[in-house]
Amino acid sequence: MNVLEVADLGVTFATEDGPVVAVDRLDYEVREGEILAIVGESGCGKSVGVLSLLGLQPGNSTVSGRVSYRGEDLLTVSESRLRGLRGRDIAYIFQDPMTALNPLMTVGTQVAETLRKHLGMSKAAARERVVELLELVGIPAARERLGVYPHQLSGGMRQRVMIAMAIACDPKLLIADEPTTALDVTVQAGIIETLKELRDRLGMAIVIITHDMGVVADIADRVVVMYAGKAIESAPVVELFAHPTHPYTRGLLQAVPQRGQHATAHRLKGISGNVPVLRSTAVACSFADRCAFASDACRAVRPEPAPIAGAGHTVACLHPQTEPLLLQKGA
Amino acid sequence: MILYLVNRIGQALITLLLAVVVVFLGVRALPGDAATAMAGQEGTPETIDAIRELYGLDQPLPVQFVKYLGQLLQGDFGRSTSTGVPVNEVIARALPVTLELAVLAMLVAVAVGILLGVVAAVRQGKPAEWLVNAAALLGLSVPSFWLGLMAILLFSVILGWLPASGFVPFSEDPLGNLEHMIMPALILGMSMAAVVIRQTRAAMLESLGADYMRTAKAKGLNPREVVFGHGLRNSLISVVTIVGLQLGFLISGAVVTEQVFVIPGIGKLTLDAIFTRDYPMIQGVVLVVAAAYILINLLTDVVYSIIDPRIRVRGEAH
Repeated sequence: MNVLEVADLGVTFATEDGPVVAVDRLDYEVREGEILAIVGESGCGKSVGVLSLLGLQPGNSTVSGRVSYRGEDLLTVSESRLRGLRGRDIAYIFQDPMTALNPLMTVGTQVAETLRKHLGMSKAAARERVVELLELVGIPAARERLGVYPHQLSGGMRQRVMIAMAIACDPKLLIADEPTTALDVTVQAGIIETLKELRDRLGMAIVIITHDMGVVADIADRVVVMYAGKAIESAPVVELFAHPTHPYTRGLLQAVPQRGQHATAHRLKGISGNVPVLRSTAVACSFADRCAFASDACRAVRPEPAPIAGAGHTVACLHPQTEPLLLQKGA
Repeated sequence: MILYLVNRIGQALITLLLAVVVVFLGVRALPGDAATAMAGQEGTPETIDAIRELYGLDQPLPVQFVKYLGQLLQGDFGRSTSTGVPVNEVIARALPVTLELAVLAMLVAVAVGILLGVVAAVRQGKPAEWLVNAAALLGLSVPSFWLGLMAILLFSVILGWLPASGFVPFSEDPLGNLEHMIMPALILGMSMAAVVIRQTRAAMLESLGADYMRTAKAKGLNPREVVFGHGLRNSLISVVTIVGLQLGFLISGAVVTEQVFVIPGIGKLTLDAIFTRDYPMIQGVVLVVAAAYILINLLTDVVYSIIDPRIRVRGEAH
């Protein structure tokens, strides 16, 4: 059963230099209780893609396509219905907990706000629930932290407050937009662990957006790789790491440092070039200009996602690479 | 918080002492001899000497200063040289009038300014914003004395709703007092509202783009809760700064407005004192206004720390 089905999603920004397509006919679905990772480099439309699900995208953009949440098309429902869903059924965690929390409100008030809004809790009841929530996300001495302001907490603690806020109303779907990117490496692991635990305990589905293949390997059940606003490959996590097929996915994996790899012996492989800026929906492969395998056909036809060998594995590429990827291991 | 307050009050007292020094030296640095000026044109050398001795002007400056400080501490500002009435009595009568005018004007400015400023920011690029911006520009560029005269013409002369000028103390006739104050307060408030509008709009535009606003929206709050609950408070710091500055400016007397509406406040008092070369009076007024400025600054800082907890912590860290 799918909690969320995204079909043909398009997000276009009106800029001074003309339209910019940030999300280009994106398809994916999220199953109940699963953790789906959406991966891609900066500027490929990952964040805008999930913000637009609940109308949180910036004002100068237009959204098209279908976003079905338990059978309800979120792109056509009223604003007040969206408000009812935000924070109640679908909740967000944002990248930088320093700026995503209101600096002038106590942690307790900010978490309680969601409870009071959606569940109509009294101040006292909400307070008690906030303590439980803060404990649930691993904040020690939760009761004493109620009156604390965000600047008095460390980055990791702030992100835990964000998580507590997001799970307050027991949402069916949690969308975490680069939840660990702004944090120290040591803190990242703890946050990832907490998210996994919460999924197991509360049974919600999680969509996690990241550019970090390590995070993907740690947490995801399934992966969608995005490039220039499109899903170019999707597969269960084990399958994707075992058989990366799209040249871009393979490039991403090769750009991850491996244990024991010495800088003197093996230079890390980057992917040359940048994500292109699309003016209109792509009619060819957007990755062709950065791809070593590109042919004339790649520049003439847009490859559509097609299933390949391997359970639940699809790839949008005219030249899928099937031989095992040689991740350079050090001596 | 208490540490922060003690710290700030200490600073305020030092500033006040410096203000006293500056006022003391300033009056003595004025061109011409004070005793000669007081004796008038027919003053003989004997009268001048007598005056000099009477006011202690023949003594060295440090001695004069200590005596002056001693008088001030007892609330003695000297006597007006033009009327002979103690300066503190005159100021005590004028100050409440100016304070009332200032507070009323400020209420108008804050209510109108913040509301329209928020509207302009939220409706950015829409007709509502242009309208508010145009109104603010008009408020800034039309001189308040002209606005005052036009208001008198309309509401007093043509419509006959309000008295054109004068003042009745609130304690004697509350309704009459308000009748006299409402026009000058509105006029003053309007021109100040323009500044508050612009400040609020700029600060709100910044808040509106902040991450925590997106968080608030993602929680399912409605636009009113997002804008006023999360955005406005984050914009208030710079608005409070402007309001504080303007209030200080108002205490020093809305000179022109008080003159137009013949309101016996500090502004009118200052102007009259300058015209009559009433040095003790000028000295007293300048000191009171300086003290008011310092007090308002202190209050502004306290309000900052109430609005923004981060300022509180910084103050305590010292």
